[in-house]
Amino acid sequence: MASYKILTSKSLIPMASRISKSNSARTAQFSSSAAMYNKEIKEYKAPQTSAATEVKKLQRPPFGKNLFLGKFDTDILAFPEVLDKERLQTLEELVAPVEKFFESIDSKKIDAEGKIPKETYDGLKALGLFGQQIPTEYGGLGFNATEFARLAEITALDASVAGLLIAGNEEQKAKYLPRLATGEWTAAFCLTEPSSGSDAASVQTRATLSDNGDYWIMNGNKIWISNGGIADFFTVFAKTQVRNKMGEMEDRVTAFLVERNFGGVTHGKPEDKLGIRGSNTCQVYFENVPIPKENVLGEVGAGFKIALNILNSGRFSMGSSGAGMLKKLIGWTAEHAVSRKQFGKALMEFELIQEKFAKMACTVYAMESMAYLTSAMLDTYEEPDCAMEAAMVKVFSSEGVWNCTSECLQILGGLGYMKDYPYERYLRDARILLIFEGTNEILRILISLLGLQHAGKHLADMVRKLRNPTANPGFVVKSTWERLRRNPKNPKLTLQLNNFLHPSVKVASELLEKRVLQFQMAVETLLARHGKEVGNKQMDLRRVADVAIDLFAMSAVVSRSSRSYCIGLRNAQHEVELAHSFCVEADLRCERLITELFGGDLTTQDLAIKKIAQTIFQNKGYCAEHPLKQN
Amino acid sequence: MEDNGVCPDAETDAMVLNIFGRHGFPTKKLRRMTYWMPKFKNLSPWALPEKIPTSNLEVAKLAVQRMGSVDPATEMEIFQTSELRDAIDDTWIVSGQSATQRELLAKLQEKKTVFVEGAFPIWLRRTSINYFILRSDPEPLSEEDQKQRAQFDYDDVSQLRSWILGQENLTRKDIIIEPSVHEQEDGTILAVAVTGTCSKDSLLSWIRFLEKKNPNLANLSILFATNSPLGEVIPAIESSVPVNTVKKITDTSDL
Repeated sequence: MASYKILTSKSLIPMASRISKSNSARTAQFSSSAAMYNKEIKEYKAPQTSAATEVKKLQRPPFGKNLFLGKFDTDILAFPEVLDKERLQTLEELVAPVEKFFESIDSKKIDAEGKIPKETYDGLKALGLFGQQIPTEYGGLGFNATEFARLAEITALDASVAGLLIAGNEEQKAKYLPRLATGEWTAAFCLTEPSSGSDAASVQTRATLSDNGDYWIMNGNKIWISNGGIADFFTVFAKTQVRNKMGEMEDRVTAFLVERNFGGVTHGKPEDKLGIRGSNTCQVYFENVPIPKENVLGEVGAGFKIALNILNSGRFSMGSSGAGMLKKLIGWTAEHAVSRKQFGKALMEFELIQEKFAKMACTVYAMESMAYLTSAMLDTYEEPDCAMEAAMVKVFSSEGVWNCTSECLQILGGLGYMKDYPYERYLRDARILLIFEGTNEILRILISLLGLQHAGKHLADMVRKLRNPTANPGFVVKSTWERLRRNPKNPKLTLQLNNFLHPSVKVASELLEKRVLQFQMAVETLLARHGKEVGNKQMDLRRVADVAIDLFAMSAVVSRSSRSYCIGLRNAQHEVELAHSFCVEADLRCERLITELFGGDLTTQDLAIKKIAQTIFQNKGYCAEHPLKQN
Repeated sequence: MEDNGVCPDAETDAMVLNIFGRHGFPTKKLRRMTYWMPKFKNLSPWALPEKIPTSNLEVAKLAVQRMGSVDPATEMEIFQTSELRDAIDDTWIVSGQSATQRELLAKLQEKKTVFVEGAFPIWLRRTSINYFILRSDPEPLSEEDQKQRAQFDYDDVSQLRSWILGQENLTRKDIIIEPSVHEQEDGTILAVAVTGTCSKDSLLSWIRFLEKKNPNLANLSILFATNSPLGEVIPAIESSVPVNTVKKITDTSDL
């Protein structure tokens, strides 16, 4: 609602500053944020006549990466509104027929038979869903990230169909986009090979330039390619010989756009999967495929970056698709809990069931908030650096969906286990979320390394001095004294995040602030402890990533609920309660992780874990003697 | 603006800001209205659509949904009297009953009286519609029960019994069963209905429909009451002329 921007205006800020303790640094902060609001008021002077008035993109620093340095971009706390009233209306009007179409899809049959019927394909094409992010000049719907996320909520209701749609949206060539937009051609993304799953840089498919230099010849095979059997158009990543800066030839990954009718492209039989069974997944073989040199995507040798960009751009929508699917599931489960009676009472009166529902609602709320915050950042920032945020959304949402679907099935009990009910299908479909688009383990490492890389640049000097205490005794003593003064267990809350939020989320924002400040100290400690080797300490990286994910989730949740409460949405009080509950839980998780990061080997089980794992691998399995064995 | 319930929007804010400045009363007042009015608009837990529909059936559905919201397990059913053989009127009946109410009905002893009372008006913003209830007399706690509740020993943990442990025949000494929301001091509400015509005949059809899911109704004696301890009653009409018109206050805009 437009009234939200009025509320985040300057006339409310002086009220807040009168309440807080004055501090010269803080008033500087306020005047800078006030200047930002000034800008917004000026923009409103011109009446927004047509939808063609482009919103000026904001230059903001990367949010997630700066969390590692303790810099919290308070712009986030005003949950961004990307779509104006008209666009929102158009989106809602588009959503209704899509929802109706998805209700009519017989998901159970798709799951049983393992393929999507032609009517469904045609229906999707007619709705234009194959061209969601393709610009309108090529015949697509021209959605920005937020609209894409909104539609992902509905397409998630049949996971096989969602998989189909994600694979078709990435290319930017006018030659192919119109046909892809209408769905005449389907696209497939070919990266994975038998020997390279997570390790995408080690692809073995090879493309060699022909003698006359006009085309490339590609050889290799890719596995687990979605739409592999039905696609006409493939984005393939292959190794090519490239002359590097030193003048030597080295192997680098290049992205190619391959049409099936180039010849030499064959596919194997569709794989029988646990979930998303309607999605066609198969091996694709490339045998001496001639590719014209115009079909190289981007530059030769720049394929790896392109692969990462493509994967990043699709990741954040997993949050909203997970949320959309869970909202439906929770609705059905709540109906069941309200009417089913056991021990003389309806299920809804038992505390354990209430706990399950509340936790699920908090998780879904966090998922949605994170997904739409990331999509808003992608839409409103100039050159958005949101790879870390997208990865955070993906990790949190995939695990959230898996756990919540499992809980819904649990609430239904035996009924949930039966194939007659859709819960087991949703559970099986949800399992792939933790694996594809980057496994959660890899993404956690990615999140922490991106952050540590950014932090490392700024902290390089300090870390070097801390790691050489004998050479810098004065510095080490001073920094230890500073650290003790800052009181790691209970740092003084200097960020004053609650001044940017409604007072009803004050407690939650203070929890968030405390963990942000502690996180910064933990990052410094970690870098000082391990130095350059920090990239190998995966257990610590996992802790760092988990804290970062929780901090991002807390920020998203607190920002969204504050906005909802300010503009007076329905059930805004409930949103504040969800936000608060989520923040308290996240805070408890962060407490443990941060203690482990500060304490290092003294507080964690890392060494024991390594020892146990080593014994298991030496004995090729579980090696404790059987309890009944006698010597 | 507040007298007519108009929420301010961005353009009004820009206008007021430009005319009166940032620090004057008008801007402050407008900003306060921008904050509070949307909140109040969404505060009611019984949300109604922006325009109340004019068709009686739709209004009846909204009314029964609102009345049934006290019990989340309420089921709203729409019957057509034309399905019954003996019905004189041809109308719709929107009936709301929950599983709890069905159980309460099933527990009533034979020959007990239940009353069909009505018609009470219910207001949905500026529209009113008449509804009927099926009520039985209240069952106060017996002397014995009351004594036991007063003497319930909360401190005794020597004999913890629970249905989970498989112990049957849990007496009042072990658990206190709270009365449901339908059991009030002036009666137990067993079902609620709105009919297209407020006639006795439509109510009869309603009872017939209820008997399908509440077989115990056949054993009870049903009285159509013209007075009710619950409040003033607009009596049900005898004739079959459809009269249940939706009354609307039309002098000011429909909020």
